[in-house]
This record gives sequence, C-alpha cells and structure tokens, in this order.
Amino acid sequence: MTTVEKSISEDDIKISSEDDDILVDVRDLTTYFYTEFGIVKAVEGVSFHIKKGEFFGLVGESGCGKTVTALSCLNLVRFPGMIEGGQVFFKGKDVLKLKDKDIRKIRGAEISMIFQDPLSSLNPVFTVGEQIAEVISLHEDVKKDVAKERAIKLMEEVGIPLAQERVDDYPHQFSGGMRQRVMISRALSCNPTLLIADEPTTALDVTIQAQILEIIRGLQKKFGMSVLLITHNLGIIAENCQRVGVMYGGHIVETAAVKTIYKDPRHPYTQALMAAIPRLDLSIDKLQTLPGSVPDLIDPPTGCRFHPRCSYATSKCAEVVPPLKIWTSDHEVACHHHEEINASKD
Amino acid sequence: MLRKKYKKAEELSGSQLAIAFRRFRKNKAGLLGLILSTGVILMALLADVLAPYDPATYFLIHYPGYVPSYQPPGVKEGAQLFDYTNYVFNPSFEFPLSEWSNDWQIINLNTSGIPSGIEHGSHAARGSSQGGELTQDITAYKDLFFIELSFEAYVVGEPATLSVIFTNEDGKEDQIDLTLSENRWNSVVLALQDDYGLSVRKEKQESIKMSLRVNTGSDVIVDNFNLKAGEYFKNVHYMGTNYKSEDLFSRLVHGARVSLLVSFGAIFISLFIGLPLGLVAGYYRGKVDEIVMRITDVFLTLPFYFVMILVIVVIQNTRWVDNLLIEMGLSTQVILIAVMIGLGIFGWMGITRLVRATIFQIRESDYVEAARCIGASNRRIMIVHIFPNVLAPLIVVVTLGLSANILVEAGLAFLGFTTEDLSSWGRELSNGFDYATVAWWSVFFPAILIIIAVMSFNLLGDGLRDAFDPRLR
Repeated sequence: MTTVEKSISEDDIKISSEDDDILVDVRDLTTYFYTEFGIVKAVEGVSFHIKKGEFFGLVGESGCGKTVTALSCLNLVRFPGMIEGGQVFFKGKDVLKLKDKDIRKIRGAEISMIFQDPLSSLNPVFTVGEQIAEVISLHEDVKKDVAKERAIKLMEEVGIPLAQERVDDYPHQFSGGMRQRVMISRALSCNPTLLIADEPTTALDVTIQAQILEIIRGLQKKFGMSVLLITHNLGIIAENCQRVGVMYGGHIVETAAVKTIYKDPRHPYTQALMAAIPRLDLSIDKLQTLPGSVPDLIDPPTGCRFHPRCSYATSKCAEVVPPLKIWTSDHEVACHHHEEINASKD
Repeated sequence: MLRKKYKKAEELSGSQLAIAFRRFRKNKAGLLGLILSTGVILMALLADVLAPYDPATYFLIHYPGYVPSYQPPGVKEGAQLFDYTNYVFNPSFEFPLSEWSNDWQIINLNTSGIPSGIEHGSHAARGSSQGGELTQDITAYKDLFFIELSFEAYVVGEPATLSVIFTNEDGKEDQIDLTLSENRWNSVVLALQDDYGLSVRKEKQESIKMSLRVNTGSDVIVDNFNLKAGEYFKNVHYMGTNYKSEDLFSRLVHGARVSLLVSFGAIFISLFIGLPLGLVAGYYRGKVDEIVMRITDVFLTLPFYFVMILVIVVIQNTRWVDNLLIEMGLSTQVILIAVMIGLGIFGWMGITRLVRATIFQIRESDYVEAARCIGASNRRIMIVHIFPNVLAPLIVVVTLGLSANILVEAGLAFLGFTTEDLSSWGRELSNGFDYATVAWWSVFFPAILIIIAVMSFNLLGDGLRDAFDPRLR
C-alpha cells in the first residue's frame, strides 16, 4: 500500500470549503466548559466533514465529546460552555460567526437535531401536533391549520398510526418509539439538509431501534439529506453509515469509510474498540477490554490523550498532540506511530 | 372503535393540567380547601347580598338613652321592644327642631294673638292655629314601630283641645286628643307603639303622616318639639354585635373583602416583581442571576414587620401618593393600599426563588435544548416553552402566599394599620380583644374566620402541589 502522508495545509482548507460536494466542514473545533472544578476541555481541535447526502457516524465512549461537537455545530453550547475556536462551515458559511438571528434561521430549517431521550425532548405541556407545527410556523409563513395539516402528514410519514387523531395527544400518551418518531417528524418538518441524530436509539429497545433507524435511513434517501449520527454502538454505525469518525477524550482519532475502519483500523484506540466487539465467527473465551479508564477532561493527558492506555505509547506521544493526517484518500488517522503499529498488516 | 378502546385504556389522557385536576379531585383535604376558599372568595364578592345589615349601622339598646354595647349572638325581636329596652335607632328618624320650626312657620304663621313675654327658650317655634294643621311625614325603611313625641304648648285665652293625628297611606286615622290648660305651658310626652294607641301601624304602612290640629278657636304656641320614630325589627345577629353595637356578621362578611383584596393585590404586585426577576435570573444565569439573587437576599434579611410598618408610614405620608389617591377617590383607604403595596414589595422573594429554581431545572431539560435546535429565540423559549412549565409550581406558591398575606394583613390590622371606615378581620379581632372575657363572640368569630381562610388556602395550595407533582408528597 502506498503511503501518501501529508498534513492538512492551508490549500486543502480552501479547496474543501469551496468543494460543492461538502455540506459541513468542521475545523479545529474547540469547546471548553468552565466549571467550578476547573476547565473541562470537552472538545479540542476536532475536524471532520460531511458530504452532501452522506450518512456520517461519530462514535466514541460516553463523555468523549460527541454531543458537545454536535451542539457546537449549531452554536448551541451554553453557559458554562464556550466555543473557544475553530470554524464550522455549513454551505460555505461559518456558523459560529453568524449572528444569533441568522443562525436561528438555520436551526430547525437547515440543520435539525434529534436527541437521546424522546420523552424529555418533547415539551410536556403541548400536544405533539403543536410541537411539530411550531417548527413549521417558526420558519415558514404559514397559517396554523396548514401547519397542523403538514404535521399530520409528517407523522404519517414516520409511521405513526392514526396520525389524524393522535396529533392532539400529549407526549406522555405516546410510547418511547412513537415519541422518537414524533421527534423525527419534528426534525424533518422543514426539509433540513443536515439531520443530527444524537444517540437516537439509546433509550429505546432493540426492535424499536431498528425501526427508528430504518425510518431515518428511508427519509435520508427520500429527501437526500445528510445525517450526522452520534452513537457509541458500532453495530449501528456499521449498518447505517457511509463514513465514520472515532472520538476519544475530545479528539477525533480516526475518520474513514465504514468498510475501511472495520477492515483496517489504524489507531490503537479504534483497534481496541474493534477488538472489544463480541463476534460470532470467532471463538474467543474472554471479551477483550481496554485497560485504564476514560481520561479526566479537566486535566487531560498531555500529548495524545490516549497514550496512558496505549500499549504502543512512546515519550513523543506524551508530549506532542498527534495531528489528524491523511493516510489514504478517505482515511485520516491521528497517531504518531500508526505506521509502525500497522507495519505487519501493511 | 379502536380509538374508543384506546381512549378507555388511556386513563391519563389530556394535558398536564387535566391530569393534575383529575388527581386533585381525589384529594379530600385539597377539595375541602377549594370549597372553603371559594366560599371565602364568594363571601367577599357577595358581601352586599350576604350581609344582613350595613356594616356601619349601630344597633343600639334604647333606654335609658342609646348605649352602644356588645350583644350576644341571637335574634332580637320586636316583642322585646315593649319594655323599651331594645330599640332600633335610625338617625334618619330624628327631626331637628329647626326644621320643625320652619315648617310650622310656613304653614301657620300668626303671631298677632300671642302675648309678649312668653317666649320660651332660644329655639322657640311659634305659631298659632285656628283649625290649622302642622303636619310631618314619617317614613320608615322597614315597619314603623315606635313613635316618641314630646312638645310644650301654650294656649292663649281659654282651654283648648289639641289633637295629635296619625294618618296612614289609606287615610285611616288615629287621633289622640289632649286637653290643654290656658295661659300656661303644657308639657306633652307621647310614646306610641303599635299595640298601644297606634292602630294605623297594624296595616303595615311604610309611611305615616302626623298632624297637630287645634279644634277650638284658641291660639296655641308649640315649642320644644321632638319626634323620634323607630322601626319594628327582628334583628338576627348571627355572631352578636361588637362593642359599638355593629352587627359582627355583616362586618366580618364585608371584612373579607378587605382581607382578600389586600392579599390578592399584594400577590399580584409580588408576581409582577418576582416573576420576571425569577425568569430572567433562571434563564440567563451568570451575572444576572448573581445580581438578582443578592437583591433577593437583601430583601429576605430585612425584619419583615418593622419594615412593613415603615413602608406603610412612608406611603401614608407621601404627598403625591396622597394626591393620587384623592384623585382616585380612595383617600380614606391609604393605609390599606400602603399595606397592599408593602406586602407586595416584601413578598416577591419566594416567587423569584421558586421560579428561578424551577427554570434551572427546566432549562437543562432536553425539550428546551430541542426548542433551541428548531431555531426558537430566547424570548420565545422563555415565554412559550419554559413559562407554562413554571405555571404549576407558581399556582401553588401563589395560593400559599395568599394565605400568608391574609395572616399578615390581619396582624397589621390588629396593630391598628387598617382603614377607619372599612371593617377588616384583624381590626374586629383587636376590637373584640378587650372584651374577650365578657363577649367571647367578639373574638371568637373574627379569629375563626381568619383561621378558616388561611387554612383553606393552605389546604388548596397543598392539594394543588400534590396534584401537580405527586413526587413531593
């Protein structure tokens, strides 16, 4: 395999932001939380991009900054959180530099988001119909009954039975799966170009999970939107995504096409993740686990954040943060030593 | 069909409020509170209908004189009037002498036959009559029951017969003939009740005409004329009277108005101050929150009653407030308004804290995040998404605040901070306090009313809290 190693240069940035194919381009995103106990460096120097119509997965363990990354993309990080630096280009515009009034036009209309817990993300005092119609009337100048009609159609689209009658029900009258469907129809009400799904199936049981993901997939194909799927479930990634980014301790350690990452994980963390997947085709007595624990983001490890748990770590790893380097055309890795580690494979 | 089954299965249908209401209906204490507090509010609203008497009417005991005195709860009927002990005295039935003299002079002014040197007192009303009449209408609000008539008469020349005639509306007459000695002052006192001498009363007339008629040709000079009339009554003092002989029940019913008006007004002022502060502090957090909470702390450290009294005195003595109130025609209610404003100014901290704390909770919830995600502005999120969720705890705190305000208003009225011309529960209580040993009712009833009102609002508030948030039970 030929190695084309180069760091991302200024030229690349220009090209990628002008690239028609790229919908969202996140560069060096850094978000800190200023808490009483210290500064939580939740996201640091995160870069990735999502192409038009692409199903992009962001995977990582709890507390590694996936959700904060997603919220930063909409400039939704709140006190005590602050976006310290970086850019989020959406259709060529830097979302982080937009005025509040302008970014509100993007939220919900162009980029919409669904959350982990569908019950708590619906306001208990309004009917679901009102909540779906709210999005429509916020972004489009339509009458109330028109908005309601559209809400009913959307509910039918995501497979809510008796939508015509259930439109006037309250969120607590719906089951978990139905609530998530409501959330999806709410997110899709203005035909967004990007849907951020923040662990949309975590709170649901497995059969419903499959249904919800199928709905998202179906709608993505139908409307041609891009999806940023955040999850810690590698199975979901494998099933749905085209490309995937792996996060660890506030850094992106590897991005690649899904097939590539399953076949050829290059970062030691990704490799450890893959090794920890229980497999039916191999007979292993003990499931492999990763020693150590999640880094404390208030006082994160210097250099590569994975180095205290990495068996290949050297002194360089503790000193220099490894940049995300392009490995092959669609594969980026942030590791000083991935070539040596994977030498045997290569 | 499916829908019907589904509806049946779904016990918890409808909005949050509807569910809370259904839960509330099962709470007996809360229901009692609701019924009692509704009763108290209705009492205040319908005070004019409910109160049997005007709260400012004195129900004086007659003879000797009119002595204001507390009277025990019970019925005072006309039968008791027979021995002059109980008597409804209504000032409108007292005709001052000057009015009489005027009438008299207008009707029969003939001084030619009157010998000089017989003027009698400074108010001497003179007149002579040869078959002439002196008349006066006596109008009663209820049943005319009692007439007391006294005058002095001087007859010039020969003895004369003077008739006192009462005529009812149907023209029926009662005549009392008096024979007067000549050339001297004759003193006449007539006390007439319906069983004795005043038969026209039996027809239940509301108005009776009284006339004096001289039958002979003599001149008669009438002086020192006095007429008093009373109504037949059957007074029911459910709660007795206070020491001023005012009907306690009527006064307490009207007092509910004052108490509720002050506490409701104060709560609205508190809401007006506390709600926006709480919303802003809770939503924006950071420095705004810090400033608001420090102000709240400062207000909470102030000694409540002392500062309240200070505020009342300051408001009372502020000229522009006075002018404003005079313009609004409320100048006599200055203390009440001062109490209301004071209570409002020092009662918002709880609301602010509660709203802030609730919003802290809500603003972290996913649906606020979701609202942000759909592009709702801060103001919209605050008003449309967060505020309805604050409503439930707010209703509870307002209900509980109402009862606290009633109590403080009563306390301040007890200390004398209340209006002169309106009855209030606290004032009735403090009035009755001095007579507690001899007139238990004058303390008992105001106290029990305050207790009922405070308790009912508390029960209601607790019931609502349980209904809105059963976890707090």
